[in-house]
Amino acid sequence: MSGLSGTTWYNEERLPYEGFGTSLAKSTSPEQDFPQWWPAALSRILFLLELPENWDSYGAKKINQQIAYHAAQILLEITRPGIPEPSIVPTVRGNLQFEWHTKGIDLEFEVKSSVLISVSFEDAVTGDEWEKDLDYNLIPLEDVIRQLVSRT
Amino acid sequence: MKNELPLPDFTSPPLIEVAVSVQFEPLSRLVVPEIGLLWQHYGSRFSHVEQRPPIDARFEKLGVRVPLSQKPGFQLFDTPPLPRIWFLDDSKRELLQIQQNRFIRNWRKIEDDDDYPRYDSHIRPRFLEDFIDFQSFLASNNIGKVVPNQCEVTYINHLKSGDVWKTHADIGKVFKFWEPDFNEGSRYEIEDASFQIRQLIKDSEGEFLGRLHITLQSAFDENDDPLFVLTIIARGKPLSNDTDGIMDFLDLGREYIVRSFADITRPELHYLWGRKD
Repeated sequence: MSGLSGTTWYNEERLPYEGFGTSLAKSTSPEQDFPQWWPAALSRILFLLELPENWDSYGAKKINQQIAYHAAQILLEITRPGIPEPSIVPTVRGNLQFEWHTKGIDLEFEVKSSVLISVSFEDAVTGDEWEKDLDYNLIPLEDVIRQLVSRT
Repeated sequence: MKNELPLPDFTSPPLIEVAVSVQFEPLSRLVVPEIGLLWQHYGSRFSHVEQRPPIDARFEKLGVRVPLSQKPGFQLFDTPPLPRIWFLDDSKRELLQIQQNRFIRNWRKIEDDDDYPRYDSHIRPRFLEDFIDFQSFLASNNIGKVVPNQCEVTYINHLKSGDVWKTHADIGKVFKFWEPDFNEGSRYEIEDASFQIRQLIKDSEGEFLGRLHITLQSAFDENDDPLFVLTIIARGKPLSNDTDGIMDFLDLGREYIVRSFADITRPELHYLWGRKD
């Protein structure tokens, strides 16, 4: 198919691709290296989507489907081999939050929209500590995920 | 980053389609009855309607692993997604595509002698006019407000074989970064070739805005002659959340596309396409 928004299609019958090898290069596709805990994480998200309005009896909002979708996508995008399973918790604003509390690292991020996430990071070993709102540049999150993986 | 050098300009560029798009937060009230109202609103301007599957939301971000396919591999919604609707004019050259989170305007070459109507005098003003009209329609029907999150410009080119190159193995005679005599020096016969390049789009301060995606496919035209399909997409965040911010990214994206196109293709072909600058 042509460009995403384009409408032009091409006959690819004469463009066979027959690959018999197995992947030699490290895949860049999250589909090809789902973490083992991914099915459980997805089940958890589906469960949280079923929570009714006021699920905490203090007026919490129902989890927003679109936010949950983007949250799952972001989780896949930042995932790398060796990353431990996160806790997935609902927030009273109707968003989802992912949390890791392991090996001295406390990492939490709440997905607030398709492009906005709030990250909180604390490292008891190095003393590093910060909170940031991130949108299109997720490099700070990528860096702490790398630290998390290297320590587990 | 914006470049002050004049943009490369071609009398007859090999363009066969241009699409200009805005992606926004989903408009949950833009559903089937409202689509009917929109069709009525367009009247005879876009009298033909077709239904297509929706395009997934796509975002250019830094610090994430790049998916080969954007399909997320999971589905969380219990209802099927609303379709993308095509609104076509009588000639089928002009097309609007609308879905809950996207507005796209296309120009398409239908006949061989259709001339590319130019970005500044046709593509840009038509997009702007129709996008403003779409936003007015949303407001007057209480459907919601566009909150943009990504903008996109797509140029699709058909590079036809001829005097300069004859088979897909001649890819080096088309693109500067490929050795021109690559095929002659190759131990085995080359049947076809393709490539994909991604470049970063940055603002004047060097801050990340998005990416340029350059994709080449080998293909054949209706006469079975070889051609290369060169698709260049500039996608990134609007410079601000209003229409000016959207247009600013689209203009910048178009500049990246035109400069990259000229940068990667060989001067022998520029001569055929009537390079003027």
